[in-house]
Amino acid sequence: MASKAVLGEEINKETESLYKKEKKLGEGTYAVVYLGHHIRTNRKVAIKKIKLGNMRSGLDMSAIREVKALRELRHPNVIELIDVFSHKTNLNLVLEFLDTDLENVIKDKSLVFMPADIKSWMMMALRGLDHCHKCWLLHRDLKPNNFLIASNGQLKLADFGLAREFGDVKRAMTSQTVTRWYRAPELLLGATNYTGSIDIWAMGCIFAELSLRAPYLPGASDLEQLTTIFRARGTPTEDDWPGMLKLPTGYNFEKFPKPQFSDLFRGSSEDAVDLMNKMLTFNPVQRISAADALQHPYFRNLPRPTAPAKLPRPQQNIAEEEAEAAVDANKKRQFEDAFDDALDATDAGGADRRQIVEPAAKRMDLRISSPA
Amino acid sequence: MADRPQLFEQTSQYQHWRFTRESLSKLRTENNRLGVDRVLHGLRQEAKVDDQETSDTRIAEATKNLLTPEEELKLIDFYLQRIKIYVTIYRASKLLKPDALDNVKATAINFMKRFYLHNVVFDYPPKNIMLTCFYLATKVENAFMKIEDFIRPLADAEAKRGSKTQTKSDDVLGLEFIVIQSLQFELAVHHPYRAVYGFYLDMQTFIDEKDALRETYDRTAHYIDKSLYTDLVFHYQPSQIALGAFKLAAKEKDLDIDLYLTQRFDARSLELLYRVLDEIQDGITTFAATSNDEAKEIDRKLILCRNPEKNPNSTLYKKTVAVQGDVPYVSDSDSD
Repeated sequence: MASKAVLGEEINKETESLYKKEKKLGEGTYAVVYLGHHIRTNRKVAIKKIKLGNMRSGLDMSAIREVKALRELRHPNVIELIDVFSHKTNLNLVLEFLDTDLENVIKDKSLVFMPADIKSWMMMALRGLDHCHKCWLLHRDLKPNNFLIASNGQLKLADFGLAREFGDVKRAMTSQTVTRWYRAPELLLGATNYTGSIDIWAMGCIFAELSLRAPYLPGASDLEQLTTIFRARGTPTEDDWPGMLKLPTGYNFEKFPKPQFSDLFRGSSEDAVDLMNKMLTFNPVQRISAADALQHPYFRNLPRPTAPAKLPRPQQNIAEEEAEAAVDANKKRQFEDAFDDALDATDAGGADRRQIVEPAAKRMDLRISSPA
Repeated sequence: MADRPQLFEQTSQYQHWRFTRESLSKLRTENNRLGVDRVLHGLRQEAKVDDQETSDTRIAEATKNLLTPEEELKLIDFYLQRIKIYVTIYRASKLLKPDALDNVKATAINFMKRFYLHNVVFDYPPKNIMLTCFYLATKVENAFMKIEDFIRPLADAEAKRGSKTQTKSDDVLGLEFIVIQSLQFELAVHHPYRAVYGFYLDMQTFIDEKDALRETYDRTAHYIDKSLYTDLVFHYQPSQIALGAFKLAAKEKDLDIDLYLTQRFDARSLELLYRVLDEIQDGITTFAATSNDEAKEIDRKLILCRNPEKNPNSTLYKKTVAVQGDVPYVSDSDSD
């Protein structure tokens, strides 16, 4: 509160006058995102204007949740909400400008991921998540496109439209949360009392997705999702997960055997598979926490995580020849990597990775649709 | 326990909504002074569009009846007390689940207290601000209800009373942005309820009289409820207020919790803590709610010293503000 103004309306006007909108980056039914800058410092920002004209009950819950959560969070791996102001009946969130996201990176088949790259993303993601959980906040919608990436490679947890506080055992919460493929089994079974472990399950799915370069548990429907999980990980027994059948929609499921994970994750090291299994443990009580995951040997063992600035980035909106060059660079990288000693992981291939030409601004519009 | 204060220090509540007694009183005085200036300015503007004689009387009346910062506070408190009544109405109509009641009530009260650090009653009388704070609190505390559902019990109660005015959705929603911007868009509020439960659990390992402890704990809610109306929330952390409430309840139930405190804290921090707890207990026990008569009297004065620029019923508002189309509560019409 650097403002000298006393009156609420004046403080709001002062905040608004600090920023200038430049151009529209994207528009959805729920919000418009603009590129803008801070007038004095020239800092580049994204201004997310939430439209409320046709909201019948005033400010909607996802806007409330997002503002409430982000106002309290300050962490290098959580998107920064720099300011908020209202203009007539629009709510404007001034966010740090981030140019791409993890889904984009995963889908860009011209990029090759090294184990050290995956470790780096996982470490940043878990640090951001650990901070949320320490502040008693659940994200409840972790998926690759909710991890945005800054131009310096830092991964940032974003989209807090479903976030809420947790820890009060007396208060019921909805089990209808988290995008299906990343939804924890206890939610699929109708649990209304849960903890940070639901976010960890989603992180485990993302970990697997980074290794596979495809969604790990893509159920075709909510009903299918549990079967997809059980087929991939084996149906849990009463020993694996005591109390599972007591959950609202728990009943006897088809018994799938426990498969050999190492077959599927052949490219991953033993410690990576071990951590992944701990994140995808059926019993939420036994599932590893974000804080403990960060202490797992996986993060201490070699290769060391890639420096954020040297992580692979998608090449977008660039000329064809540049795209070709990028592919060549990656081929070269693959070749080098074959000989690369794990000890050199921190600078392996870094030099070959090109600076992003122009921020893929349009990525911002992914987050402007209201969660159902 | 060591990292808990640090965590609280990161909250917006700790960083932006904490004051010393002096700074709080200075802020309120300044706020009131600027509010008075705006009232007089508004009335002079109104004189330009109204006939001279009416304006002169109006200005003279207003000047005589301007509210002091203390009167403002008393009026605000009266409406804060009514939040309690509304909570029971929504509970009875099953629109609020029992598990959400405490938080919704405490957050609504807190929002209203914060709102009037950055606004005055001359501009925004507390009656509707209270409803908007209440409705916003239901959303913030995950107890959302549709605006129609929120209005219905109010309308029913008004009909039963035979009240002439009827609360409409726009009365509540029209002020939502005014409220949220005055809250600086900081919506997370921490209350003593959870902290007191933590103390209760912790004390069980130190205190053998389990029944007395249980009774004491049950009684703390009464003192926490009382603390919400005071300014303690601007001076102390929720866990401190929780412990202060625990001490009051323990005194009443004749339970000794000092044994717990001496084992939990070292002598030096205990000395500081006791001073804080004394101040909190004092704050809770000396608080006196505004009476009906007091409120009525202040409300009567307020009618005469409203800022016409913000009063939709004033001549100035009707002749200028409304004509310019700069009505504060329009639907989304900017197309930037």
